This record gives sequence, structure tokens and C-alpha cells, in this order.
Amino acid sequence: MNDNYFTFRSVTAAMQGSRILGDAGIASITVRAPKQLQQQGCGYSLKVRGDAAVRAKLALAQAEVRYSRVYRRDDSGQWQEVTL
Amino acid sequence: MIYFDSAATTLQKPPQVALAVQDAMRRCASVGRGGHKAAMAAAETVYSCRELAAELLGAEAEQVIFTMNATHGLNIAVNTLVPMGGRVVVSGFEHNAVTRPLHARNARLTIAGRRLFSPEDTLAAFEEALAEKPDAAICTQVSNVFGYILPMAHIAALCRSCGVPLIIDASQAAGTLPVSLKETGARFIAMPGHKGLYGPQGTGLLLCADGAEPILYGGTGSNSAEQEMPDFLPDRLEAGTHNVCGIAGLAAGLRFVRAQTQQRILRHEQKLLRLLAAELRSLPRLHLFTGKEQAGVLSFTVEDMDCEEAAALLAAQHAAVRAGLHCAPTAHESAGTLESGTVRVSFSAFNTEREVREFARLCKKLFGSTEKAQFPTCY
Repeated sequence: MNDNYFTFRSVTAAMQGSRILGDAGIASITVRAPKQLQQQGCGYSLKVRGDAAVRAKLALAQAEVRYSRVYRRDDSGQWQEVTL
Repeated sequence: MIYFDSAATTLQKPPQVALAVQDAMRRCASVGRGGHKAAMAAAETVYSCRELAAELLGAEAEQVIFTMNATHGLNIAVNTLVPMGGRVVVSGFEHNAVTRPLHARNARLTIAGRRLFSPEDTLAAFEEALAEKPDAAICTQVSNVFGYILPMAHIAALCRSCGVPLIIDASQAAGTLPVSLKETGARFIAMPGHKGLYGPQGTGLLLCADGAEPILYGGTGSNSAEQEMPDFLPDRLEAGTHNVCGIAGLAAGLRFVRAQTQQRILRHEQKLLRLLAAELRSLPRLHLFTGKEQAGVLSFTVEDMDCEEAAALLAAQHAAVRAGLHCAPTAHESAGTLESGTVRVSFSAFNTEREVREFARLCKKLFGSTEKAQFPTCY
């Protein structure tokens, strides 16, 4: 399953999200959001394995950490927004 | 050297502070300016400090704003809450970091509580002044001149009940007394990193409960396509590259305070203060300013001697204190020392009873006699 990218409005929010996922035992990597996913220019995202995406969403929601959107890259290389 | 000027800056720091600064200088680039290893190391370093500060100071991580010093934070707070010509209640013990930004906004001040070491007087005056519904109340938690611990929890409760936004200047309190954005319900709390938090000079923290107006505009590494500053914290108030090395040092200082505990550091400083006061009380030329509600700061005057001269005599004997008005003429006006100034002794976690006894010995030598000591001509 392809990786999911949870996008955040700032690096601080992304770091906060990363801590929450870490505490929940979900591995993530903080990376720059791909340019196509940046709604207002510059941003960070948490890269999460596809099979952990739903758990990640729940953990972030429970901690009230706001992310912007979730994207997944399909096999053709196109970014798709996904609803978990 | 006996260093008793920690109310200005703690000179002795935990060794890990300098090590953290050096480590950050080697490893860290800029926060939010890239996704490479050095940029992410900076992001991790800065966010760790935010988390530590949030935990110690009763705030959320995004409510912790990095500033250059307490003055910077207070300017943001005043700029946000006080309109030009606005009405503000301040305590009788404020620093110029509060009063000068207010003066620049042509604010109309009500000074609440002039009586030193009298929480009752302070509270009664705040209660009366807050009834007039000013635009804001600003209060220092501890007087930087006299160490008077103001009844902040009660002042905050009064502000909440009157619906008046509160700005707390925690410059002398952070690291020794409870400071909490959540518990006080304050709108802003400002503090330096380089005093009781044992960080490097050039660091500061502003706790921001809600929105704020920036005084510095520029790149934040977020919302870069927009010309408006981001409307979210901390980015709204953190334009430009962070002082990553300083923040790394501040994080080490915060860890030191957390390990020692604020209560233990306060008790240590108060013990030194009581010891010094007991030693100096026998000197008839000295007038000590002491009270029940006092942190580790002690001011005194020497009869027939300029306070700067007294401090210079001590400096010549390798004892560092600060004399003058301590950038707080309001506090000196309240205590009746605006003309004379005072000599101020202030402690840190690193001072010892031995240093206090040696300092007392010096004071007895220099100020014990009714004859004036010779003013040093070179240092």
C-alpha cells in the first residue's frame, strides 16, 4: 500500500503531529510537503505507511492536532487526496 | 569572583548549556526552511525546547513563542492589547520593558499598589483599578529591584473576574516560582531565557494564549505564497531565522530547572537571602529592603554613599552586584529610592553560603566603618 502524506500548515504543527504518532506507536517521517500539495506555499507533512493511515488519523484527532489534508501518490505518480 | 547579579543575567550556567549551543552550531541549520537533515535537526531542537517550555510553564507548544528577550515579548503583548491612548493598570514595581512601550503608545496608566512587600495593598489597589475596565493590566510577578513577590494568582483571578486581559512579566519569576498560562488565564506571559531559566543571552519566551499582532514581519517558512503573516501561532510572531543555537542552550537550561525543580531553587536562593540579611543587619550604615514575600533579590542603600560607588568598591574586591535604578524607576519611586538608587544583590542556583559569608565580610570591611572607604580609581 502506498504511503500517505498528512499535510500541516507549519513545521511546528508537523512536529507536534509526529510526537503524537510516536506516542501512539505509529512510525512517521517529517518531510517537506511536495510542491503540488502546498496550498499556500511551503509546508511540511508527515509520511505515514498506508496501512497505518487510519490509526494515524484517529490518533491526531484524539490529540486535537489539526492537519490540513491527506494525500496518497498513485502508481502513475499522481497525487490524490484521500478520505480516511 | 562572587557573582551576585543573576537578576540581570545568570553568569554561571549548567555546563550542558554551552555544550548544547556548540552542538547546535555544528548540526543545525534553519527551522522550517528545508527538509534536509540539518534543517530537520534544527526543527527538532527548537520543537523540543517548545515542548519543555510548554510543560514547565503551563502552555501548549504552539503557544510558546521564541523572542530575543522579555522586552521583545512585552512589546508584542503591549502592541496587541493597548490601543494608542489606551488605559492600562500596572503595578508599582514595573520595569521600563513595560512602561516604555506603554509610554510610546501614550497610554494612560493607573499605578496599582506602591507599598513594598504588601500583597494586601497590591491586591486592594488592583481591585479598585480593574473596576474601571482598563484595556489591559500588566504586572510583574517579582520586582527585579526588591524581590517582592506579587500575589499573581489573586491578581490574575481579579483580572478574569473583571474581564481585563492580563500581561505578566515573569522575568524574575521564571525558574523559581510557578508560572502558568493555563492557571492564570493570562493573555501573555513574557520572560527572558538568560536569567532563571539558565539559557544564553539573546533568548526569551512569550507565552501567548490567543491571537497577537506581530511587530516583525517576514518569512516564516509557512504560507509563503501569501503576503499576510500567517494567522496561526507560533509562526505569526516568529518571522525570520530563529536563534537556533540559543534555543538549544535554553532547552538545556530548562532541563536543568526541571531536574532541580523550581521550588528547590527558590528555597536555596531564599536561604542565601536570609543569611545575607542576617549578616548585614548589624551594619548601621546599611538600610536593607526585606520582607516576607521576597524571592532571591536583596536591595540595600549605604548611608552617605552613592550606590554606584558602593558597587564599584565591591567590584574592586571581585564581587559583582548591580547598582542604580535597575531600569525600574517606577519601583524605586514606590520604595522612595528614586533619588538614591540601591545596590542590588541577586542569587542563582549556583551561589553558595560560603560566597554569602565572604560577601558579608567584604561589606563589613567596606561599609562597616563610619569613615568612607577610598573610591577605587582603576579597576
